[in-house]
Amino acid sequence: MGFHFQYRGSYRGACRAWHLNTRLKERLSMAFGHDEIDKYAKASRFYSFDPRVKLASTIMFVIAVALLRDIAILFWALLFIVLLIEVSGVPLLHIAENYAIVFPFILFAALTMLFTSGPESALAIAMRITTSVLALLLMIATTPFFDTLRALRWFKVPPLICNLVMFTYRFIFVLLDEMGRMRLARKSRGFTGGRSLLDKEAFKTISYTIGMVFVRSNVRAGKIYDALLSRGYSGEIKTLTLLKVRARDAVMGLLYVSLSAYLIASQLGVVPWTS
Amino acid sequence: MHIPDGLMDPTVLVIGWLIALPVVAYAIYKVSKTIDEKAVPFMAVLAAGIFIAQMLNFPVGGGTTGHLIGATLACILLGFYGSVVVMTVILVIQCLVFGDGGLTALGLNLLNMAVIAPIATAAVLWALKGRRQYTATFTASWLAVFLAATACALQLAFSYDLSGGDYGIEGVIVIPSMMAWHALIGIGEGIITTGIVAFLSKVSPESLKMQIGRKDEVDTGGKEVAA
Repeated sequence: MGFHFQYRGSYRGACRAWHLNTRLKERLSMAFGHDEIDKYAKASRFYSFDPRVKLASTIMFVIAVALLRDIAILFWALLFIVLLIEVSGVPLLHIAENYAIVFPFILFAALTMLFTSGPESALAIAMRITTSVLALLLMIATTPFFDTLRALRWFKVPPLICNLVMFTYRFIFVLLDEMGRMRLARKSRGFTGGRSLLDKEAFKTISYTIGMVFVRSNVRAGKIYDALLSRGYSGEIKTLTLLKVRARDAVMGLLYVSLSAYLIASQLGVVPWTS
Repeated sequence: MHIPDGLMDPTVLVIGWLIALPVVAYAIYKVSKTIDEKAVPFMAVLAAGIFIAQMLNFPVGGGTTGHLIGATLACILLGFYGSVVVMTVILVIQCLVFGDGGLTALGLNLLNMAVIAPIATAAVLWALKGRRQYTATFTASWLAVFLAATACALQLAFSYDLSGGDYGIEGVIVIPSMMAWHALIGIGEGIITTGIVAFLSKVSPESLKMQIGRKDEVDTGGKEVAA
């Protein structure tokens, strides 16, 4: 916006500055993660698999893993999910980045476990959380957001929740932009983040920022609603394509079902376990 | 405080679902019956706002930071049922889109942050009957955070005892540390929520009147809060 003042008189210079500006804007919006979520979904081999099968399989697998206590059995579950991630084609770095967010929590749980119940339980809890988190991350990384939403709708999640989830997801990025602009403005005025709970000015700034985000977004929500109405929105999500379970979906579901059943059976001692 | 999968004893997970689901279902029923369609985008904006407010860290001291839960803010802006629904939506998105909090543990996360926290807020607001706006907001936010964290600690301790040391974290360690830590974080939540309410009542008092799910109270509730 400010290029008028910097490049007074030079059209080409102004153009260059404008391009710089748009490039910067792209950078910024990427930094705030517009496409982050669905970025790897399309590249993955599991992208076009039925979202209902993916969701149901993951839920079942995670439930099975929650019941496991034996390290040897947990090892096979972990190996299965790591192999599946490898096959899916999702970059390992992407999964690792997301896993790193949960890692301090796992470390804390495992460390306290180490001192209260011994190294075996500590390893078991770390493996159990890791396996479940990886299974969930795999599902998220291979399923586009709208597919997840349709699966939820199919599983009879109330329409109010589905509509709210859809709108909220959309608005998160709108508000992130808003927040990013305000963060930049805050920073340029010399705001550093504050040191402790006693920092009165820092808290005043944070409260006012959040308050302002609500005020701005309230106005924006009104506009968005009007825009939706004029496009014929009636409160129901309609999609062009129909969900369909194909052979490969059945294979994937069956793989998950049989493995989960086997894991639980060996944990319960029904299947003789040789290790 | 988002519990991942695999940490809790399966029995505790089932209990969490059994308590949380009826409350959430009733809140959804109540809200879908009373709101008009136009309110859905507004609720979603609030949900997105709280989602983002949760990402904004505030300083606690010693180089560490905490972040908002936002249940109190939702409860003040939308009323009890509205806040349960909004917190549910936030937790569902965090679980299914960002992998924050587990699938099987969603029941417990719902119980702590979408049921206990709004109930604590509503109880404080009800006890003070709309008087002493800022004191009520601060107390409600602190209590909501503190009780939610305490519930989480108790669930961890209960898992540990129930499974004989295979799940959860031992109570002697987790209960005092979670309670002390979140007593501090609660102060931050209290200051910020009070600040937001003060800001909104100055800049945009009409946004404090969106009492979804308890339409009969709209007029009086709005006036008292804004006064």
